[in-house]
Amino acid sequence: MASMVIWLMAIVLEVVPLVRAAEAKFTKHYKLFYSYLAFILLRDLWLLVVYFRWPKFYTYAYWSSEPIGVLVGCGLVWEVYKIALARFPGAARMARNVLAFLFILASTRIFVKAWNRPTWIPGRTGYEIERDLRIVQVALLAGLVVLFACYAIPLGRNLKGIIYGYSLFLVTSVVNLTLRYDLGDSFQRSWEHTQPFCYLFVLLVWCVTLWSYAPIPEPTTEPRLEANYESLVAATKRKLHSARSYVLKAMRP
Amino acid sequence: MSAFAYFLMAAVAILGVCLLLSRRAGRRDFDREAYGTGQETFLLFGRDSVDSELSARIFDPEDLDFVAIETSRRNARQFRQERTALALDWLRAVRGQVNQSIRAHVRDARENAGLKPSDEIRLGFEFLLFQLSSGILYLVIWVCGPPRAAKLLGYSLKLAAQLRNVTEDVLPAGRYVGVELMDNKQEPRS
Repeated sequence: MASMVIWLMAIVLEVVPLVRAAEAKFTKHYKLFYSYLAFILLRDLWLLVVYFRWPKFYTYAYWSSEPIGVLVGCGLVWEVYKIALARFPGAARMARNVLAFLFILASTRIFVKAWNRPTWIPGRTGYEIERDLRIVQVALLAGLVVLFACYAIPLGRNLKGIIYGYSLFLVTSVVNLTLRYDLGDSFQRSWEHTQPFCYLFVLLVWCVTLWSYAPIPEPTTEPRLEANYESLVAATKRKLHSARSYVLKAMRP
Repeated sequence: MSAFAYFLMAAVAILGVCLLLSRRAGRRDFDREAYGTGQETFLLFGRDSVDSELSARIFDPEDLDFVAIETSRRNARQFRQERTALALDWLRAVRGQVNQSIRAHVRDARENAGLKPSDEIRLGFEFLLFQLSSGILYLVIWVCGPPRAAKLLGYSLKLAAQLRNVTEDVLPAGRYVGVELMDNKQEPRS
């Protein structure tokens, strides 16, 4: 009964931001995010039908739709990258390199694991596969967030909400899937409650932060006219070196 | 074991995300407040010799020795404490100006399409190194006081120079052996 209430609440909370965005006409600003939300809404409705009409197939329907969810989630990370760094080509270039590195690193880990373990077969070890894919997403999103912080990229309430919510969802998914995989059926009952509760909280975050459209704030200062990147780096290095020699000179009269 | 590892990773990730984002949220007008216009950076460095003399004076043991001889122990201790506080303030100011300069760089670099990730990483590494070494210096000044910290720094720099000399003495020989080995390998082929 409780899980059914949570399920229905989740559906309501998925509908609210979608309706709200459609009403206020700002779905076009976050197309992939709303596509993701629409996808999970449709999936939840479909699973609800399967649960009541063909309960035997529910597990199969759930696990077969998860990889699509992960893929659509990747689109969400892509949108965060595109929107946040649209005005910052330098930071976007850095992000592309860092993300490619992280993606290769995380994917290699999965492939090596699959290569070393013949039991790692899609469909049989659903928890583990989903967890591994979610870890790739965590790595990519964490890399992006670190870059945003380093380059002081202004985000705005909407984008921050998307990042907060999805990060929370990914991290709680990784934790829950790991525990489910490691502890087995003994964790199944707890998993059935903890995962939906975390998901409800994520949906609440999205409802609050995406209630209205909040454009990304403009940077308040104009960049200096030093267009040449080499000279910019050289100037900063010179300053760092002069700071170091200044300290040394002061301490070694 | 692996469950704990994932738990830890997840906790660190959550904390990291929350800290980074909340830190950013706290800085409302980050660009204006923290970066400034970029013109005011490095007022301290390379200004003139008077400034260098003054900062050198903080670490000079001469004043401390004079106070120790001429006044009571209590006064000498108080003087030492004040000098330590002054030295720490000075180091904080230097670090602050370096931070400001890096922020100005980041502000300009983020909009520069010619950005080279390798240069950025190298610069970031140098900045980290500066932060780390100045952090250690801060700790040493706080524990030992400015004159002793200066002495310790002088000693460690001398040691580093000696080590470098020793390595330079050894390295050419190493290179020479390497070249010889390569030549030996190539000889039988020809």
